[in-house]
Amino acid sequence: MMESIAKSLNITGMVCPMTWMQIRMALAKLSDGDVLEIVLDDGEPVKSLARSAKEDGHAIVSLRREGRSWRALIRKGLVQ
Amino acid sequence: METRTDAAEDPLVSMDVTALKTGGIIKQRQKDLFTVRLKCPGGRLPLDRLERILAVARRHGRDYVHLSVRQSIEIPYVNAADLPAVRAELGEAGQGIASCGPRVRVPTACAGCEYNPNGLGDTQKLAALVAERYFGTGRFPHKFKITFGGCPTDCPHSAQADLGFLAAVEPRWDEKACTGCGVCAVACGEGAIEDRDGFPHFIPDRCLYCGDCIRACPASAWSAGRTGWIARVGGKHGRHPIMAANVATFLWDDEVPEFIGAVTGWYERQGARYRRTRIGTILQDDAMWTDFLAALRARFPERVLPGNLPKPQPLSVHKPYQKEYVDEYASGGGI
Ligand code: SF4
Ligand code: SF4
Ligand code: SF4
Repeated sequence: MMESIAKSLNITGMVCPMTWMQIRMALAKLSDGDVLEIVLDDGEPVKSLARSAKEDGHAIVSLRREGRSWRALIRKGLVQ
Repeated sequence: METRTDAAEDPLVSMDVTALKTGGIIKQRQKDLFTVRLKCPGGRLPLDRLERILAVARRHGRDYVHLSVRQSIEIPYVNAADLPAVRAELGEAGQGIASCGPRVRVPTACAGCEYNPNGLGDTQKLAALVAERYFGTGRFPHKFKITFGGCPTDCPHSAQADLGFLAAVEPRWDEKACTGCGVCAVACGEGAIEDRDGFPHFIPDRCLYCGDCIRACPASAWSAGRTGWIARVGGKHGRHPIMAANVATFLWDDEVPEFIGAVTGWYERQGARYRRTRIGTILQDDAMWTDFLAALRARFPERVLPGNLPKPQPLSVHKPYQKEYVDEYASGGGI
């Protein structure tokens, strides 16, 4: 499935809670249903991504390893 | 010339000492001054009670309060003569005073699942229940501390409580939902999930039941299986610390009170011939450990772990832990 990406964000090198705050701020600029692409580090950032996204009502479209980091697509939630 | 206080002028002549009887009031090194330790189960304090504590501390104490390591507020420098008033003024706002001695103490707990992202169980609800139902009870040979942790990270040190509870969740994997992304193997800090041929392989013996894999999985392929409380018994800190031993898993919320009753009941019964001895020290005795597990298994056959469980584990901090301590306690020597 091809997704059209509304915005891309690289948060490698950042630590919690900046990682989620960067995502949260990027999502704020998008409309419901838009897809945000994120490149993030292995370990804690990828571990907490799905939880934070689900808690705030966004959907993980895909999440896969790319070399030493990860690439995620998140669809901004229609809830709220 | 020497001055003498006329006995009739000493305010302590006619003081009502009932304020001192239940404990929580600690004599200071300074003459006639006491520290009042408050009952703050789980470290949670509604703002109206906090306001009252502030007012009482301003009136009867000095310019600070102290936070004890067990989550209580302590008001130091209270005059002996003021103790009845302090108790009454706090009591009007529903604020109790802690206990001392060989009883169930105020329970401690982390914030648990209400707003802590890792929390798996309602630690605060159970801490409040213990404070209401068990606080100050017991005819034990020594104190008894109960602690609730919201997940196996165990921030509140339940492994060093006489009876500790940790919320836990057993993960279950749904092959059909799994996309093989590999995040769960990264998320599991225990090596209980290995990536094999692009899919997670679960190694149950390594699992601590933390639920990290469930939260991290973007496809909800991991979900909650059995949930509940892990119970561990016999921990303590102090001069001769002991790490508690896990004895039961996946106790439901409403089984916790009965479990506490079973453990404290055993401690009352078997502790009667010991002096000033914590349950973890008594359980160093092989016969006592066997008897304890049998008593628990009789009441919680489904929950108590099977097999020959390891005893609570003494730690050598000052001196090697000696079996003689146990025997000495048992013979009434004490330390
Ligand atoms: S024990 Fe778990 S739930 Fe409790 S404060 Fe620590 S991480 Fe949070
Ligand atoms: S519950 Fe925790 S320890 Fe068990 S497999 Fe999941 S992440 Fe690992
Ligand atoms: S995180 Fe979920 S989807 Fe990804 S490999 Fe683990 S179980 Fe499968």
